[in-house]
Amino acid sequence: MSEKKMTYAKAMAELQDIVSHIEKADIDVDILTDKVKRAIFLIKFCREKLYATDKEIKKVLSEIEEIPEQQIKVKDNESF
Amino acid sequence: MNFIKLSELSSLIKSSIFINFPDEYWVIAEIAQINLHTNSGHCYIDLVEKQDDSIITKMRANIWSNTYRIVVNNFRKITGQELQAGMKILILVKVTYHDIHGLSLNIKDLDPGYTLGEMALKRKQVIEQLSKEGLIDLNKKLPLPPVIQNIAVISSSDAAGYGDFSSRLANNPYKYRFYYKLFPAYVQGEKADESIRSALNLCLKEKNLFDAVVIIRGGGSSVDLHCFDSYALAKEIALFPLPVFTGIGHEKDETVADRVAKIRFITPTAVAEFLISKAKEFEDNIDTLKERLVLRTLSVINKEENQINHLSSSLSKYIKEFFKNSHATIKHIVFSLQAFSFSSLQNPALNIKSCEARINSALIKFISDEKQSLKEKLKTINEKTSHLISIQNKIVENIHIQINLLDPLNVLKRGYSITTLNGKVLKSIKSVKKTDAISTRLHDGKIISNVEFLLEETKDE
Repeated sequence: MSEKKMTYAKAMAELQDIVSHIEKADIDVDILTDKVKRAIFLIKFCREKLYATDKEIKKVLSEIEEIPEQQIKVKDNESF
Repeated sequence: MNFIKLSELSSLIKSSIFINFPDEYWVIAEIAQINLHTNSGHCYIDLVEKQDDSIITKMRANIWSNTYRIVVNNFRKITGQELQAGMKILILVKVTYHDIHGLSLNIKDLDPGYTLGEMALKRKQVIEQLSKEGLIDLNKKLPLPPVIQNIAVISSSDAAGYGDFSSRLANNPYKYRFYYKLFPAYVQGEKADESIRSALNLCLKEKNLFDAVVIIRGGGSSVDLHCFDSYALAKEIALFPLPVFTGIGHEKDETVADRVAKIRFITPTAVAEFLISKAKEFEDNIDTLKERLVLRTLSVINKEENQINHLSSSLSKYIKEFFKNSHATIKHIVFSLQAFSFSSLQNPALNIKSCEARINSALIKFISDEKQSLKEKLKTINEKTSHLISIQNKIVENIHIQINLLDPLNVLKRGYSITTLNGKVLKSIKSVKKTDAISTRLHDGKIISNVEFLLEETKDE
């Protein structure tokens, strides 16, 4: 799986997979080590994505072609 | 030729109308156009009746300002709607004729119940059509991403609802980061339907940037929801490839837009709360999984540690045991090796088991041989010992006899005697002087006598 395309959904699914796998009967310590490393990476990925500023997204969003405001200024509470 | 003046004709019409339309009538009509004179407060409406979208009847109507204030406020309160073009109304009218303005209907009252029913009916028809076309649940069927972080917002830039929404997201208590982009649109009035649809189209071009679309506007009872019952808008929402959330600030009725949206919320703030709670829920799930991961890892490590400890302790025990038995074992091995012939070592068929068997049998033989030799040795020792003892007995006997022979009493009996002087045995004549009192010991008594003569013998024998 390419890390660039990692999403919350994929991370969550993989994490659930890892946890249920290591919770099964006997697990080799070497395999456990690898799984734990991967799980820590996924948790870190999700946390960083939740909290950290993604400057790239901010930039892209501000670059989206501004819609001519066409006097769109209707007040919600405007009445007759 | 007879003729009358225009004003006379007008009077005739007026009196004819007055005579023939003395009552007030409840009339159903559709508003084609509506104008409120801000100065006078009077309201002027073009009423129409349509058949298959073409106008078959058209009349002018008016509501005087004193009536308008009461009737329209009541209407707004009950329907949540403003009077607007396209709306069907039930009105109580008086037919009037004015010399200059001609025929017009003076509206005395307005029945909000009818319009509500009409709206509901229209809404129902739109929903039925969307259902028939298989569109109604399309947006609802889209999967909801676990975290909705990038949001396209369709709203009016200065709408209070948009402000509530963005500040709630920005100031969420968990400090999650949300990205939102406003796509401005009218969210009420006649242009709203088309304006929202064009904003949706702009979102569609950037759909890869967003997780969801949010359509919001501020609340209030005097809002106009007409645009959100539009078939065209509902269809675009239904077909939109991202989940659409609505928060258009009304509690009473579900609009068609609400119906087709992925999730309908009452207020923009509620939409923001939902997005925040989704992120929180996701983080909680991650935390739970993390805890399970840590617990399981610790338990596996613990188990592994115990196992190692157990193994090492039994290993050291085994080694101790091994050394304890090493003497015997080494002996056995040496002996067993001796038991192997060179040829048997060369024998390729020899395997460990047969070695073991050979060692065992050799061992058994060794032990039994050893036992046998011990027995024999023991026997020899016994024999030798008894022989020695009998010899010893004889010696002792002889010694005893000799000792008996040497006893002085026995000697005295044979006629010998012992002479002592002052308790000392006399062995030489030189130890005695004339007149010494000497004692002579016989086997049955003593003689005390004085020396008369001393006759020294010469040693020439």
